Amino acid sequence: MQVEVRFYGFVRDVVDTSPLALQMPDCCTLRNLVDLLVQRYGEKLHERLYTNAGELEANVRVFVEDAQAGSLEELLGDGQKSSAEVKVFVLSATAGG
Amino acid sequence: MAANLAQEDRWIPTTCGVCYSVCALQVHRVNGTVVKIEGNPDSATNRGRLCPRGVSGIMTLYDPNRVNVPLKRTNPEKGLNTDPGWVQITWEEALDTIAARLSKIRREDPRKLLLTGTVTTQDEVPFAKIFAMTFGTPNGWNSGAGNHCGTAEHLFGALLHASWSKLPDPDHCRYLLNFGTGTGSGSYYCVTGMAQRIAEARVRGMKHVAIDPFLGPGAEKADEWIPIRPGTDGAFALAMLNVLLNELSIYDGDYLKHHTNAPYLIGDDGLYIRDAKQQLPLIWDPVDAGEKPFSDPTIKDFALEGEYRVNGLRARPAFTILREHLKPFTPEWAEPITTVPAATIRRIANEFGQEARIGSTIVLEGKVLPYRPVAVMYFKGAQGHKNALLSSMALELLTEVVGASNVPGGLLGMNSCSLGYPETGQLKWTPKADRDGLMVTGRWPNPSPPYPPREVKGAETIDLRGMIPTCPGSSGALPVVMADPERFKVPYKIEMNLHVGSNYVMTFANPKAIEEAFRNVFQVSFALFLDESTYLSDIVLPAASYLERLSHTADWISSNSPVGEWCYHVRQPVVGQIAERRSACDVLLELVERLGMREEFYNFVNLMLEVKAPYTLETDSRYSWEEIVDRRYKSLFGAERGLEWFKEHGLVKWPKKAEEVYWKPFSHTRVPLYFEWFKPLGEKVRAMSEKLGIELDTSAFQPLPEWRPCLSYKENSRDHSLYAIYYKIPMQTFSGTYNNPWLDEVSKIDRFAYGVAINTETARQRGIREGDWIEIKSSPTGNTIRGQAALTEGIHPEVVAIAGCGGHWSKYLSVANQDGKGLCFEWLMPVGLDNVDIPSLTQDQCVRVTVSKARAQP
Repeated sequence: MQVEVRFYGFVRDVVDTSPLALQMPDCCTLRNLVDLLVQRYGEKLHERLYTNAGELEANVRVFVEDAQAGSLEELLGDGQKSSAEVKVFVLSATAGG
Repeated sequence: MAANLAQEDRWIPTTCGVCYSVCALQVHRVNGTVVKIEGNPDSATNRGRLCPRGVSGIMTLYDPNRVNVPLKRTNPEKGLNTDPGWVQITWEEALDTIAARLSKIRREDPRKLLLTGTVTTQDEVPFAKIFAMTFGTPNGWNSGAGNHCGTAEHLFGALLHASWSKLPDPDHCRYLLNFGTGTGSGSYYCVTGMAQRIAEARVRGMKHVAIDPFLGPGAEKADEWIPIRPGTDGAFALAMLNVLLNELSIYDGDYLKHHTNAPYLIGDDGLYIRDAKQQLPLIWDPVDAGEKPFSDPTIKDFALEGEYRVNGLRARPAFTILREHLKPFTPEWAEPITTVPAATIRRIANEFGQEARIGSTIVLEGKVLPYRPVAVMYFKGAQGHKNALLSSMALELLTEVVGASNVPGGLLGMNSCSLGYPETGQLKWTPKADRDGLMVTGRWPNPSPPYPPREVKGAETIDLRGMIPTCPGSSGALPVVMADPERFKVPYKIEMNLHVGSNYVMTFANPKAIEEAFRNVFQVSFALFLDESTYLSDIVLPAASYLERLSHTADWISSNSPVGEWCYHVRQPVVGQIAERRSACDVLLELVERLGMREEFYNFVNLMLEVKAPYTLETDSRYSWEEIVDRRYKSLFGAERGLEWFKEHGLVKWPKKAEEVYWKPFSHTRVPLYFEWFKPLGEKVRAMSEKLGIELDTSAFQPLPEWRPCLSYKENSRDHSLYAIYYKIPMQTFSGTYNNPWLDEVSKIDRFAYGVAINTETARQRGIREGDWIEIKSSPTGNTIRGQAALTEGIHPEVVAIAGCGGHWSKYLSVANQDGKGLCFEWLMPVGLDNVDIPSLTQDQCVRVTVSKARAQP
């Protein structure tokens, strides 16, 4: 399936933030996609997105077609769809008293 | 003729913006001019009450010192006393210059942008944060990290109360143990609403015990004042804990078993003992005489005490380890540290323990709930020290061991649990349990709460927060790292500071050191006044004050009252545009367009402000600030309650349910009594700091509390025999209000507001009399500040206390910059990691000084 990925936020220093078109196998998971992105952009992206346990960092939000993904094991498509739009937000924190 | 003179006579609902309490206002406008400001009695937040600062807002609105046009500096040399040579420019030139700078930085490395702000711009800073996030920088600094912010207190707010801050239950509390806060008097959250509620609580019999070096605005409302040496509150709390657990055996066993990790088995390595299969923490079931995962449905009881063998290892419940750990911390041990007699500590511990009424219940809304009418409050005073983490931990455990956490009468999170607005279900959050059963905060002002901790990273940020995930928000390390990023292996330098309404030069520590950190940065300030921080600015934009701007984010979780009703307000302009002043939100939207960030920014706005379909911002349209606010209101409160509705009605409110206010008995989450994960986290921080060659003391990452002396405690020379401390007063907010003539007038009436509180006998020994000018010289910085002595018996004899953040020197603040208008305490405080609590990145705020009568008396 055709997947369009966009990155947002505190990730501009390690990736190209213009839309990225990728061809992914049908029924792949979000983890497959993120792993592919990490392969493409290297260790810096891995460090920005993942914990050492291989889960997404708490400040990372992934949306597929405007719905927030609950887990990296979610399927990207249902086998019926031929395309998907994925948005990866890396949030940064500045609150204080 | 008279009828013609009064063409307009309106009361307009809006919200105050002089501090973080966000009180609701009714503003009286006649013929376009504001003539009076009162509290809005409809609001559940302040219930019609208003403090001197709120009433005086009118004088800031029309202050002739206000910045009214965009300005740029012509003097390239920057300094705290160097005239910037301001010249007027057009908005167009200002925005062109700013956009060009931002565009270059974003292209090169967006991390080079810093955002600074403060809580008094609580409506604009969140929007600016979205701008900064979209831009791609992780760097922000709420300048309250210095003498305002609770830092470690906020950390424990997340870990124990699922909230940014806490307040005592004003409806049911009977014993308030107050370590140095202004709760119910003149500062802290929900300030005026809580002042009324605490006054009512005292009428119905609540005892308020203040433990504070100074009988100041908070302590003077108490039933009993106990003077304590600065920075030793943790020692007092440890001794109380020891008395409660080991002398009196007062603790809430049922609470500890079901709502904390007190029964979790700990091995000799200090970590949980886990089951081999699921890796869940184990407990000991004394009925079945065996270990079980904490969540095992067959558990018949939880052992809190004893020693067991599990998998061949010694295993002890966390509670047993805590009890043992506390034994050396007797009141006799604490007495020479705190200067509080051991007998007093024992008495207070006994009163607190007895009044907790463990085992008692109360019926609210038909539900039987635990009744624990005691609360412990602390904030900057007790927490703002080198020993912040471990002292805060001790103070927090007082509430936990007696089960007074988020139950009727006890200490309440603000606001930990919300079941949502009834008509839309929006604004809904609730604490959840993680795999270890520990509580994860449901809503937090930052994108992720401190627990579960983020991965320890290297030099991502300019303030060590990437490396130290337990820092809850603003970092005390920022000026240190910013001054020398290479030392901390940060691969970039801050090139530009987007500065939204704070006077950070005067509110963190030594202004000269802050100047050094910021002088080479291109600074754009949204400013009401040309204050001291704008001396370092390159462009100053004329900011609209809270009475001149629209906002939807004035309300945040900590501005809602802990009890009563939920209440969300509007902030709206009460006058037309004055001169060329503009809201920062409007200006940021213009910059978004100029930088070509619309698609990214709108996506962030939808995410961060919870703007949901059908109100989401679409990229092919351009929205005004009014339209964005309208869409957010409709998304949260329904189509009928958009901006126009809020402008007319001012607020929406609905009753809080018992399970929202007193949520703990309804929750399956547990909180740590033993902070097991601090230990491995500290080892990771140490490993990272060693890898990067950075010297950091990580020894305070430990699971149980202790007391460690601040630098000022360790220095005990004859030359610097006194401590200087800072405290908040009801008539000034930080350093932002001193130019207000009404607040100046009321400050002059109070001899402590602009003076230096000093003990009568201490003064006599130095030949100092009431009203004498005195000099206070800092041991670590060598700086000297001057003020007039205000003699009192109500201060610890080793202490001088300085109110607020006066002592302005900007030539553009004609009221505030006069001699005798208070002192800038921060000249006394050094900048450096030696003075920072590493786990919370808290900046210490007590210092050793020499005090003498000034040779020249005006």
